[in-house]
Amino acid sequence: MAALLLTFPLSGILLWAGLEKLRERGQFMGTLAQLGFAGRAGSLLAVVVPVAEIVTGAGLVLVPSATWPVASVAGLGVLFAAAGLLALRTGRNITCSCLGAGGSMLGRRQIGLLPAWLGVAAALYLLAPAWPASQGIQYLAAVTVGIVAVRAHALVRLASRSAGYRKAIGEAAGVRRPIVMRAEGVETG
Amino acid sequence: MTVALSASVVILAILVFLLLGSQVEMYRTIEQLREYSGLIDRPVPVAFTRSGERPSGVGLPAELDAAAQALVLLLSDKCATCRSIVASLDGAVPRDVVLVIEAEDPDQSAGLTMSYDLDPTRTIIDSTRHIGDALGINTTPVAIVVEEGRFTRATTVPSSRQLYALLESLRANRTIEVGGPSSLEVK
Repeated sequence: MAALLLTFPLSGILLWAGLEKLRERGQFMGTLAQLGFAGRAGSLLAVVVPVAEIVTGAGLVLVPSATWPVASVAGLGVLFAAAGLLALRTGRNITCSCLGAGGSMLGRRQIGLLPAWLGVAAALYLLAPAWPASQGIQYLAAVTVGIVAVRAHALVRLASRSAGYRKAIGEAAGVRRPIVMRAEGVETG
Repeated sequence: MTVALSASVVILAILVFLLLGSQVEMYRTIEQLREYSGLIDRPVPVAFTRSGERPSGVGLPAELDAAAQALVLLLSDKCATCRSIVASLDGAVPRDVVLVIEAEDPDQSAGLTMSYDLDPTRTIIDSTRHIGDALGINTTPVAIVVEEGRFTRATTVPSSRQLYALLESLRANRTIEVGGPSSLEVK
């Protein structure tokens, strides 16, 4: 059970991060360029890093008894911390693009999270979860549906806010005259 | 069979995730455009110097002095947003709201109250604008919050939804009833 509780969220985070980096590849390439990986190196990393995240996320659930997904989690943690260190060395504010476009700044946070990544990898290695690949694919389906649900929730919130704005703009569109007519007054809309 | 179905779910879920991501991006872009073009439906605090004073001191009904929470909604008969707010009330002025309609032409304002069928017991026609002047507010529509019988703050009300949002937040914070729920009777 503990292995499942650890594996599912981790797999979801890695899948989310990888898919978002691929979807917003331009943004991620911008981050890489600011870190000094422009040109071919940047283009290559912009594919390799998200693919590694997706493969690791899927591997954790599909082949939990294999060592490579766990090693890959630790490797990714080291990679993110190295990126944070590089960002600090440049002395510039570099957008993380950790879970897609935007997000926080790259730097101390990624370095600080390194022990967490290594700890999770060690815990998964020690817990040694094991289930057949046929069950793993069902778990992977559950994880992907889970991240879709989280995304859908964010979308519904944004859509509802947008509907409210549309209503308000509809009211404002009726303005044909100055709103306030005061001798010494302020006119406002 | 189960494996094939699960694999299909994974592929479909990934596609939906990417599609929803694009839609989220679109909504965020629209929000950025709104902010950039100033189409922001957001209440803005208004400089208000009468905080802590009793409503009756500026010519508002003395019953407000005993209200736990209430809103004084300052409107103008020349203000289209004010008209849309009044129209959204649909004649039903909430019991914790007092409307003050500033009128350039008192007859026109009387027409406004009649055409929107506003509750006359909760509507004040401020034809001389003495209330607005006493409050020191030259902007409409503006809501002045009354808590525990005293003015606390003033804010613009850019749309009816913001009026209801303000009312909801005010009611949610209601902790102490001063004068009871029927204390606000405006004559």
